[in-house]
Amino acid sequence: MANPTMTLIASYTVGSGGVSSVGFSSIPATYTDLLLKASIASSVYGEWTDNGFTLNGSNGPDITLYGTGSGAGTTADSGTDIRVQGSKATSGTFASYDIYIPNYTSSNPKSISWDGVTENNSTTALTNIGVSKITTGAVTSLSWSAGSGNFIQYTTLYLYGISNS
Amino acid sequence: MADTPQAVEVNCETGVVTTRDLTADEIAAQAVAAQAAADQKAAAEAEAAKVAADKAAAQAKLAALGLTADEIAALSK
Repeated sequence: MANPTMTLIASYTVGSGGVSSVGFSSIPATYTDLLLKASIASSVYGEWTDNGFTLNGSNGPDITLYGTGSGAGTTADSGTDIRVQGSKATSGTFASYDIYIPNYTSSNPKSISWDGVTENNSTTALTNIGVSKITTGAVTSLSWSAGSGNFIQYTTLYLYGISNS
Repeated sequence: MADTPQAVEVNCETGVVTTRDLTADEIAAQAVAAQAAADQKAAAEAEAAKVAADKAAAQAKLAALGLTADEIAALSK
């Protein structure tokens, strides 16, 4: 009988001063899928900012569907960019994200997906659903970059391994 | 904030956390990516502003022709 499990592989919480990027390396190949859960915010100015995401150092084209409550739209990028809130958002608020990476040990291109919300307290929130196709081999590392700024203190990332059997 | 941007890497096998300064190439690549994102955002905002302005101009012209506000609103439903 199948016994699916979700196992914490590693986590990281950003300390004082922030960091430009957070990566996980030597990811074990013992799971079916990967799930990265994040509470995350950037020092880059803006209610939201694009933040580059890579698998094995590679990214790929993405499409994001977003909604603000008063409108909706789509964006497309040549590289995998996942929006989190920037320094214009209310201090102390963080974006909440799930990034799912299925079949990460496969040699085929990876179709990853994410959903999350950038939060600006009671004034603005941006809901995002995105997908990206990243052509790379078995995933052994991943990284998320804050672009021209830093991920701020208390940003936290949890990397889980999902086993379907 | 550190003078040089720093990257953190968590080794999932050992649990060791490594912090290092970004290389010049990485910093340059980040600047290019940030500019591209800013350009894309500006273009999207300009397009949205143009659509809003065109809509307002069209509504004004319809009103000048004698349409009521309800009749104008009905056109977009």
